[in-house]
Amino acid sequence: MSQDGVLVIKNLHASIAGEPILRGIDLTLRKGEVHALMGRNGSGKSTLAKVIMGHPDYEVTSGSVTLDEQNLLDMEPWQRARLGVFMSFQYPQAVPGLQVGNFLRKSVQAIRGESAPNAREFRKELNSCMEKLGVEKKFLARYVNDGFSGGEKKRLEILQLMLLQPQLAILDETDSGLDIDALRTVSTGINASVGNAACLIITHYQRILDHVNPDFVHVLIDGKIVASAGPELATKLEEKGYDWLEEGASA
Amino acid sequence: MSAPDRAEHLWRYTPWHRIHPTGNPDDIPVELSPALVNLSLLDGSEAPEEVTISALDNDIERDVNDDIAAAFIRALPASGAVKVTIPDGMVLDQPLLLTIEGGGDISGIQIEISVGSNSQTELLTIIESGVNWFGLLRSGTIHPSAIFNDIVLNRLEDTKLLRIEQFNLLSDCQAKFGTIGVGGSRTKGDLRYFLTGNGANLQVNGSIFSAGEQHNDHHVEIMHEISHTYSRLKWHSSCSDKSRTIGTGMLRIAHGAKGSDSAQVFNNLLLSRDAEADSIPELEVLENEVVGCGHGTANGPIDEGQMFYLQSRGFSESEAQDLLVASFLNATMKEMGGNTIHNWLDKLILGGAYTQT
Repeated sequence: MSQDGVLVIKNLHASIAGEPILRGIDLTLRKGEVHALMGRNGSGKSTLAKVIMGHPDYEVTSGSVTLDEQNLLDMEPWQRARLGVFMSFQYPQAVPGLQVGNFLRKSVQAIRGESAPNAREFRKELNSCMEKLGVEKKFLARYVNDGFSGGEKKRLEILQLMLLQPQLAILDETDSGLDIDALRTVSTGINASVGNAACLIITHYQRILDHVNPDFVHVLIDGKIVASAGPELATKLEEKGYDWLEEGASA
Repeated sequence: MSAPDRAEHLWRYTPWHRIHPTGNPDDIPVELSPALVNLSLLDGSEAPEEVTISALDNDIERDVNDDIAAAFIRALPASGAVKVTIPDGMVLDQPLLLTIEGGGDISGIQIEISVGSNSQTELLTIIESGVNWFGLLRSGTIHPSAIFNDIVLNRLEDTKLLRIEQFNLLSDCQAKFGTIGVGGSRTKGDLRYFLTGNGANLQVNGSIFSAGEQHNDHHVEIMHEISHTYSRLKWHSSCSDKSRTIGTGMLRIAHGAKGSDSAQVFNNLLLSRDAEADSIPELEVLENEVVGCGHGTANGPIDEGQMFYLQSRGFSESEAQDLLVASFLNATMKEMGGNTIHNWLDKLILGGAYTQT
């Protein structure tokens, strides 16, 4: 695999509280590619997402992660975000007192910097994205994720993805907890955002991959990628589960 | 005038001598500068002539509690006393703004507020100046079916503030009382609300920002004296540096106050190792048939999960912390009044961070 991707991960090992979770990840994502990462609970999928974003609980014990050849591991989470890394949280945090509209405006200013839209352009952009996601205007006056349903939380994550225009989008189980209609709407938002980005979708299910067609599917078992292939791999996993890969990995 | 026993609940954290103008409980200062009071609308225009502000003698309608602090303020010479009257049926789109500016070294004022039946108004009171000591005694009645939002903003400089308050809520009124503390070196507040009319509805909110070596002690008493009354108390304090905040609450449901629904919660955000926060919510329930009567308190540092979430959205560590503190205080400030008053306060206190997009 060539090393000229947007995101290049080499031999990444990471642990939490001394417990190794990632045991040598190699992965390259290029602009415009959609990669799906699948695996059982506890295999290390969310850990990989958090390590790329810079969660302070995880210690990288060896390996490297670069975005456009810049070492992410030397950066604070906010520096990674400003460089173009976006992570959609599996369980987004509630921030009572912080209104969604103000949060989005400030976040766009922080991340897009000088190229951030002015107030009028921002409102136009915001309205357009909200319309695509079927989000009502009164949503803006609510506090961030405070009292939100599961679907509302995921919609807000994708609304941020659309507005922040990252180079690298990591979507950690964005599809979980969504009904069929919401899944379709959220997928529309993802498809609208990832054209110019590299995208890593962490999921347990084939169903989101029916809407967001991945170029590659990877399987993580026990902190290692044990299989990588095209979208047909997800279909095979849906039919056969993970046992056959586990046996292969052991062998 | 004898000083209260330090062991009494009200004075446990701020003994009387520490909030007294001279520090000597036997003194009643004879030199007192009157405070300047001005009433207008929040947009700077004149208040309607039906809303009156007039001199008041000390024969106020309802005797304010006879505790040492209220008696002390009343005993001060030339302290001045005014009555603000909002007539029955008055509906105002713009909030009223009452500014109080202390003068000299020791200053104070007594304000009686009468909110007329079926009126719909908001009143923002701002206390400011650089006096050494300020005494504020407010009392009043919210008449039946009035809707009234009241906010007191402490913007004093290096000042000791003694604030005593007592309001009587009559039937079916809906009243919100908010306290915003950003100033003063030492504050002792004794705030009491009596729900004496059926269907009275009360919300008390506090947003206290303590920094440096500030000491903010607020005691809030809510008395459900009659059936089918409702109250909520939500008090948020952030404490940084070597500051200290205290919130004590007394929620009392009298015998016979059936169907009362009440709750109080104190939340404290600790921003440094040297900061200290104490919260003591207390209940005294003398009636069995209540809808609810809950209390709670939570102290803690900034949530690490929230910090990571905001940092992942491009906010630096200090920006994320500032935003979380402001949001924490805004959560209660937003509840105090309508959008006009909130946006105005937001611009003044939080730099416009929360004015709606």
